[in-house]
Amino acid sequence: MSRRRQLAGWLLLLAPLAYLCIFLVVPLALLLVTSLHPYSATHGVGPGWTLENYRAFLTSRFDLGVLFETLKISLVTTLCCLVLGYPVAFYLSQSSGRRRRVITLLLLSPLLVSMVIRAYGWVIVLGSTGPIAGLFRALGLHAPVMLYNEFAVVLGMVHVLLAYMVIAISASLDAIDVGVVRAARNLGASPWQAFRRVVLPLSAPGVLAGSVIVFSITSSSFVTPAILGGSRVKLMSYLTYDNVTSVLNWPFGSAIGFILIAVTTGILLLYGTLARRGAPEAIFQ
Amino acid sequence: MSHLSLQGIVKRYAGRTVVDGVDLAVERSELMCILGPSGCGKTTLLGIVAGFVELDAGEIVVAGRSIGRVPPHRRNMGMVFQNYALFPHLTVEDNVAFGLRLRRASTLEIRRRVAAALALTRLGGFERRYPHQLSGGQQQRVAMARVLAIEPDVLLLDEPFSNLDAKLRREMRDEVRRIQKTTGITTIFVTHDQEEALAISDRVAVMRDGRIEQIDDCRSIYERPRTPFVASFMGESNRLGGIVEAVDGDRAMLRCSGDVRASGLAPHPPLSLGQEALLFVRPERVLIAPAGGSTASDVVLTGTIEGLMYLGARTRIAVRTPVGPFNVEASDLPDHAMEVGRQITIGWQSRHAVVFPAEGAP
Repeated sequence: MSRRRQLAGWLLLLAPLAYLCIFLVVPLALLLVTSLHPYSATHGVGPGWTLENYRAFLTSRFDLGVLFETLKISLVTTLCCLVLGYPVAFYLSQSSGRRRRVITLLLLSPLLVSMVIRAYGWVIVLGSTGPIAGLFRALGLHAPVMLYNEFAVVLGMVHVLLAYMVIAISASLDAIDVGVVRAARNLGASPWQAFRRVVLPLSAPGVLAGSVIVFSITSSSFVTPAILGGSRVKLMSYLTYDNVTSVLNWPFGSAIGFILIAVTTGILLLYGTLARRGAPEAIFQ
Repeated sequence: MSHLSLQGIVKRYAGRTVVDGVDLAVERSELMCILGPSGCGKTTLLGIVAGFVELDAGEIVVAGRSIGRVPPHRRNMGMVFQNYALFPHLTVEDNVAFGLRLRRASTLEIRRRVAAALALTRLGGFERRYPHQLSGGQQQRVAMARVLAIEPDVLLLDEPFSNLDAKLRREMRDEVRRIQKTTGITTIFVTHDQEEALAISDRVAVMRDGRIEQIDDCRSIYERPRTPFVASFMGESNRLGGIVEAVDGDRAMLRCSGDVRASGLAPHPPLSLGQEALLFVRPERVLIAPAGGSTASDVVLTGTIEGLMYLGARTRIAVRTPVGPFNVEASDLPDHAMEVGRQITIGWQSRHAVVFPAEGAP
């Protein structure tokens, strides 16, 4: 590439880089700085430097429990999206024309509704006076508790995030050459064997990308868990919100936010590394 | 009995008949080429043989076993795809071992056959490479090695050289022919390149609009085309229109414009007197002499040189004659006065020309 074209490339990158810098990197740095100050009942952020906020979090059973709960909900949501989404993505990548457009629209339709409305919709459906509970009662059965628990949160999250997973996986599946599958069949692979040995490994990048998206969005989600989890399911985002807006302990709130970012990033990096090690590097070209 | 035989194969897509009653018998160890322009149905036909395309009518028999309804993975056919279709996530070694692992061959057996296939395709030393680390020619070899390893009953080659540059294409062509001779695998080779077809095949089947026009050995296909389509598709021909004036045994005499008489072989269908007909004669069969000279031909025409193109081994001469333009290819030109604007005598022996009814000619 010529120097001029390289320069042009950098200039094109400048605007998004500046945006990210001003609205992401700088706030993150401020967050880090805030989390290293002590709490002051009068000023919010007190003078001096301390690691007390991190120590407090890491020694509190309650706070660690919230972190664990957040990771658990994120993991379960990711797995559910993966298991439910892969077949849909496979079907989508086999379809074309009108059918493909209809499926894509159906997948994206939950995203067209406001998060709050969607969550309250689930409250009505899952509530003790809702249609599902009614059905149980009509059958003379005791309706299980479906709302304000982990199940409700995961259900609500999967409802939204399934589309992301499906789109990520189907992009990967679409990139697979039909000839490669035919070659496998030709060499003696049954349809299942061709899927298992060729299609599945080649779709790994999509599975990885979809998982990263779903996991990171779930771990930082606020509205859906707040509405569907009620007072019983507390996630990190809620804890941060509570400290920043109710308790007004900004340093501790910042520390919680930073811990969530650090832990999620660490897990995703580990996941990516393991996935790359498990599959030959050629897949992730 | 033929090793592979296709009987009355028909395939329709949305009301359009893509393969229209193809019969083809391939002998054991024979390399049969299916040659035709794009869209003639040759690749569909290959897909039918491999089992990727369901047939609407007809039967496929390999070594006495009917396989028309057998799924692709139980046909034991080795197919080399136009884009090679190597498994990008597997090394060369694992690509080649793919079919053997599915057959649950022992580790020792797999190692032995992979090594043999790699040796046959001269790929030793590339075992650990991934497809994206190989050149086009090397990928082509891996595709060959991968199917050879499973020792298929029939080898299917779908335009395997079309993605290679000219020099490599010739090399790989010779290579594939050598491997095919060594292994003796019955082979169907699909191509639109007539030179490639002639170079590599035992026999050639020329396909057009879903039907086979002619099946013959290479020499007959080129020199004794049985339809005007084959005559015009295989190499280049000069065409001359006229009225059938006389038919004598296997020869026909045409009266062309300007009262010129031209004769050639008339294969079938038989021509009738007074019928409009087309005569085909290849540029390299047209003989040249200085104006007024003799060319040892049955047919003699006089014309003017309109263009000369030096092509290395040959020279191409465009000649304007009273019956139309002619292209002539000569390997050595007479020294005297071959320049644009000069008068020239051209001619051919009638055994080197063919005559067909004008009707139905492409």
